[in-house]
Amino acid sequence: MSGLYKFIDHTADIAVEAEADTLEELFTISAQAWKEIIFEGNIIEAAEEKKINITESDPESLLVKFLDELNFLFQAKKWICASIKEMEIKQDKEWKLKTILVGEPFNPSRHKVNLEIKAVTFHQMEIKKKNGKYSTRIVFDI
Amino acid sequence: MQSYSHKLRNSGELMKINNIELNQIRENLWEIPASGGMKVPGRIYISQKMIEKSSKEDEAFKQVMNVAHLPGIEKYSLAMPDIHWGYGFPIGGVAATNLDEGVISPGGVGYDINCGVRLAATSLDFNFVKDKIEKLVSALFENIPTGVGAGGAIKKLSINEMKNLLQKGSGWAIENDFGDSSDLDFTEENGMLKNADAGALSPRAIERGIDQVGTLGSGNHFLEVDIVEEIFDEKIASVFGLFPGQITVLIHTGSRGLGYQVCDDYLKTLMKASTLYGFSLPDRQLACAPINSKEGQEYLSAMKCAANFAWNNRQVIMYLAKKCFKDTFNMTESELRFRLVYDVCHNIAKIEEHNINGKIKKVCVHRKGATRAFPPGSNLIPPKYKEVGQPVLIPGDMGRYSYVLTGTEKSMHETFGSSCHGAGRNFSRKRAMKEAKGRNIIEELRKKGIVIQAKGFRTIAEEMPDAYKDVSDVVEVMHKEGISKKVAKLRPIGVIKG
Repeated sequence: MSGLYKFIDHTADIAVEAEADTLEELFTISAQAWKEIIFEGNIIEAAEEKKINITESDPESLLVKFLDELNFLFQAKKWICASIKEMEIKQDKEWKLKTILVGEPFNPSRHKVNLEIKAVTFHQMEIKKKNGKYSTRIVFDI
Repeated sequence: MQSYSHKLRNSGELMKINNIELNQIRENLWEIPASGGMKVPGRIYISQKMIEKSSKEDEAFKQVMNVAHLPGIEKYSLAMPDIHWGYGFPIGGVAATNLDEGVISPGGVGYDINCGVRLAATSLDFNFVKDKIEKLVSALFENIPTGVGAGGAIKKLSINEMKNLLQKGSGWAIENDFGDSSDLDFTEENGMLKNADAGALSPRAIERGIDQVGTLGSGNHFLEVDIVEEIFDEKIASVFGLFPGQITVLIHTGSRGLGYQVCDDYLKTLMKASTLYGFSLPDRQLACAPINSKEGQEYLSAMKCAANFAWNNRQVIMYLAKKCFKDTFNMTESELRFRLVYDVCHNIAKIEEHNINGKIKKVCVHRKGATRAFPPGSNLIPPKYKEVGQPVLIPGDMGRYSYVLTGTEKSMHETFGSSCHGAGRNFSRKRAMKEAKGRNIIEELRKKGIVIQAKGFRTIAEEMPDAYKDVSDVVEVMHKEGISKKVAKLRPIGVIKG
C-alpha cells in the first residue's frame, strides 16, 4: 500500500485528503477513511466477501458512488466493510469499477458506531494526477 | 484568512470581504449588489461584529451570490444571521422562485430534509424534577433509539405501511397511537405535505428509512430537557403555555437516511436536468430543474415524502419522551399535561403565497437552515396562536440556551416569512476533538447543571458548547430587525444524543 490519507479542517463536516500511486489505491484508502470515521476503535472481521460493480461517467462520480455503496451496505444492509480484497478500475467509454469487499455483519453488541455519515458529497472533489500520483479531497456530510 | 476593508458611505458602512462588497442598509442588514449572472441582489441579516468575526463566512457570502443566479428567483437571495457555508445554498439561506420559469433545487433544502425542531411543554417545574434528572435522562436514553445501528422504536415496517406513512406524515403516528390528534394542530402543515408520492423515491431511500422510524440520529441531533429560564414577552408566552421555571422538551431531528438518500438521488438527477435545460450555474451543488418540469415535480414529491417521514419521526419520539416522563415521575396524563407547543421545519421547500412587488403570487420558498415565521393573523398557523404569531424555535448548543420567538408581519415583507434557525458552528469537528483532549466535557456540563448521555464517543467532544457560536447573537439580530420577536429563553438540564 502506497496511499496516505489525512483528515483536514472543515467547519461543519468531515473532510479527507487522500493521495496514492494508482486509482485503485486511492479508492482503497478512501474506504479506509470512511471506516475510520464511523468505526475507529472497533475490530471489524474479514469474515465474508461481497462483490460490487459500478459504472459512472467520470472518476469523481465513481468514487462518490463507491463510498455511497459502503455507506448503504452499512446503513441499510447492516454490513460493515473491513477492507478491500481486490479492486480494478477501467476506463473505456465509461468508468468501471469491479471490487471484492471483505467484512462482516454489523453486531450492535460488539460494534460501537462513532457517528453517522449522511452523504458523500461532490464538494471540492476532483481527482487529480500529478507527478505520477493521484490525489483527491472528499467531504462527508455529517 | 480573508481581508477586510471599511469605509463610510452616506447611509452606512461599506465592507469588503474577499472582494465581495457589502453595503449596509440598516444596522443589521447588508446588501450585495447584483453583478455578473446574479438575477437579484443578495441580502444578509447580520451584525457588523458577526461579519468581522466570521472565518469561513466569506465563502458563505459567495454562496448567497451563487443562489442569486437561480432562474426565476424573486426579490433577493437572502441569508439569516446564522449564515455559514453549506452545499450549494449557504446554511441560513432563503430564496423564493416563481412558478413560471423558476426552479427548485435540492441544494436549497439540504441533505436532511425537514430537519426541524419540536417543543413540548409540561406542567412540571424545576423544583419538582431536580432530584430525578439523572433518572429521567437515563430513561430517555434507554427508550429513544439514538445513533446509527439502533433499530427503530417500532418494529420494521412493511413497504406498504412505509408508503402509507410517507403520505400521511404525523397522521400515521396518530393513527398508530403515538400521540393525540390535537398534536397535528400544532405542527407546521399539520405534519403532512399533500401529494407526497412514494413512487418518486428510489428503493434505496425507502430501504434506508424503513427501520429508522422513531430514531434520533447522530451529529447535531438531540433531545433536550429544558427549563424556561427567562420570559421576554409574558402575553405571548402565556398564549404558548410557557411560564418561568417550567420543564419543556426540545426534539431536534429530521428525515434520517431516507431524506439523505432523496437528496443524494435527486442531486444526481437534477445535475443532468440542469445541463438539459441549459442552466449556467456557478456551483454544481446548485443543481436544479424548473418547478413545473417532470424532474422538478418528482423531486418535490420525493422531498414531501421525506418531510412527512421527519414529522412522523418527531411525533413518535415525542410520544416516547412523554412515556419516559410518566414512568419516571409516576404521573398520569392529566397531571403531567405533556403537550406539543409547536413543530417547525428548518430545511424545506414549500409552495406559498407571498407579496412580490405588490402582487400576491405563488412562489417556491427554499428555507435551508431557516424557519418559517408567520405573523399574527395568518391562516396557516394554529387558531390558538393566531393573535400572537407562529412560534419560531431556535436551538442553541447543549451547554447554553435555546430560544422561542414569534413571527412578525415584517418577515412577510422582507424574508418570505422566514427567520433564523440556530447557532451555527464556530469551529470544526477536528478542532473540537483536539480541544476536548484532556477535558471531561460530561463533567464540565454536569457542573453547569446539565446531565448528558450520548452513544458515540466522538459526539460529545464534537458537539461541545464551545464549538458553536452564541445563539443569542443570532436571535438578537432577528429581534432588533423586527423579523421575529423574542418570547422565551430555555436552558438545558438534560440532553441525549446519538
